[in-house]
Amino acid sequence: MCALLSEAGIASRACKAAEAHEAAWGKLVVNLAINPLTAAMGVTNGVIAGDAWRPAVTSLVREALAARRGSAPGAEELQRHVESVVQVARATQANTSSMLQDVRRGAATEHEHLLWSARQLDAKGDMPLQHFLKELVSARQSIKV
Amino acid sequence: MQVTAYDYPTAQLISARSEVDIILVGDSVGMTTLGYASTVPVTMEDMEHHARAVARGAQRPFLVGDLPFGSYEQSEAQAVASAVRLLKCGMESVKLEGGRDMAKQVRALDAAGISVLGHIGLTPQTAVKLGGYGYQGKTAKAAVRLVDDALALQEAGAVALVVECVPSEVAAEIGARLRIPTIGIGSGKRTSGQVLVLHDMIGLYAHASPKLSKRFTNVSDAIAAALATYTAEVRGGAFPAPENSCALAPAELAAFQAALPPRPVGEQAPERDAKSAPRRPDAKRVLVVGAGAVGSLFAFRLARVGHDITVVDEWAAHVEAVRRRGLTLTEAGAGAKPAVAEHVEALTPAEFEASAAQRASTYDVVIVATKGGKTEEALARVPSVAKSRRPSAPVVVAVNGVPNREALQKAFGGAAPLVHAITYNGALLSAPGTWHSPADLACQLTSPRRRGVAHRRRRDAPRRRLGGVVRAAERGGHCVARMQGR
Repeated sequence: MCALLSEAGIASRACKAAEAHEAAWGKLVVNLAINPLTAAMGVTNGVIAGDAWRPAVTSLVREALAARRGSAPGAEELQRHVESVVQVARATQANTSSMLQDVRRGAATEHEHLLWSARQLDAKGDMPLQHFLKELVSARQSIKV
Repeated sequence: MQVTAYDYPTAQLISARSEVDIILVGDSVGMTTLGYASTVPVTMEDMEHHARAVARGAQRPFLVGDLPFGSYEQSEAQAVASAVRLLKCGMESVKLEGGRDMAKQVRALDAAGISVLGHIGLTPQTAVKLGGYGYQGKTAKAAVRLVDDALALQEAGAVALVVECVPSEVAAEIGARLRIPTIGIGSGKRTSGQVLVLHDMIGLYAHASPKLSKRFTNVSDAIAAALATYTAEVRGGAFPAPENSCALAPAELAAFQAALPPRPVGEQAPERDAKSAPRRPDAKRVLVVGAGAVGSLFAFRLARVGHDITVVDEWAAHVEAVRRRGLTLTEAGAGAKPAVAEHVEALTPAEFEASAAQRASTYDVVIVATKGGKTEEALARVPSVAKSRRPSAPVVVAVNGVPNREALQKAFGGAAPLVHAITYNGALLSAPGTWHSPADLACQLTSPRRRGVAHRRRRDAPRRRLGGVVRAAERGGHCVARMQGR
């Protein structure tokens, strides 16, 4: 499978379930930071890679990691995931996130699925900031632009 | 029993495969077959055309031709001349509408040796005068007049009488008072025989009266299903198959190509960029369910190296665009031209299902790239997806968040190997069928497999501390894992 994808230019590798679980969490943290923020603010991914957005990104990452562990994340772990978000935002700077595309199309967003995914990945705590962002995105969908 | 027929194949069917006694080449041909709003516009030429076709197809039943509106009312001579024309086309008898007023025409036809059927009650040619297509003889006075009309036609020499849309008691009374048979339509069961318009009873005429007729089958659905399969098979390449085609012998083909001058510029196939690969002999057949950013990117890249890709998406405009122009992706970088992926078959869920039989056990890989929360919904639209997969084919799930394991197992069965793909790739949709790959990821996507291997080496340990995710994001790559029980 990996050979098939890699040969097609989609560099891939297989990993064990434990690593996949870790990777899925990492991706989820990125999605939970970039997607709702860009959707609520109506900006491309690159915008939130800027320094001005770091506190907001950090708050969301901290909440997601705390929900995962059931306790506050360590400074190093937090830093690592914030960097990951910023890197992805920068790498996809011209992109409109899928959630913002959905908002603009008036379609249902994946936000609920992302929160469901966190629970599937054994998240222990709630994420009030995410719920607030969900409300914000939903309210934004009611604005005719 | 009597039914209508207007053409060779139905006449043949009725003749060879039914117990129907009489075929009426009715002037209803105007409505059921020619698209007129009523039978009034039908001409003698229309009737002759269809009468000849029916006569060629029917061997056994007795053939009756309708005299159309305007072909018999003026005089006895006009009626005989028109009837002769229908007999010349193979009819054995004619039918005309009207009661006592038409008795002299019936008498003249009888005198000329032409067998004639009368038609009373609702006479569609004069429906406007009657006040529409309603029941006739609903008052005692009107019913008595119908009985009088029937007797007058019998007396004039009619061999049988069509009784249309008359209350059943009135039709029964008419039948009881006549020596000749009555053939009813919408007039109850106490007539000697029954007649129906074939197109009404087989569901081929949309405006059939439910009161008068009954839909014994619905061939419209069968025709529509056949058309859907046909179009899907042509689009999907299943039809025409080699057995439906004739191939040129290799030597003749070479000679043919050598004998032709080169094609003029402008008529050649659109330019493809250098990376386009022809379909390879070991091409995998890959089904991509969900042609959003990730699904389309996977489909594009796999197709570009020569694999056979089918994408299924419910967004019809996108599917149509891919079908017409191919799946188009503009790579990152200044001056990059849109590239078109070949070997991409695009289908809506309905089209996929319509061609399900041809897809059984076909796909070597299934990629599910729906929106995260929509996996179950999307798979429910393509219930044949499980059967279309080869027994060992992996199901690769590339969705945001966690795949919906229950939905996937429900769709593919518990034994299907599920693979969760965690990808940071995506693309921007600029128009249906057309995507742009974001700048930085695109160049990283081209990174060789070797780098993936390098990540597993010890000397890469400092980087590994960043976590697999960051590494994957850095190179725009993927982490692929077999899904296991949680």
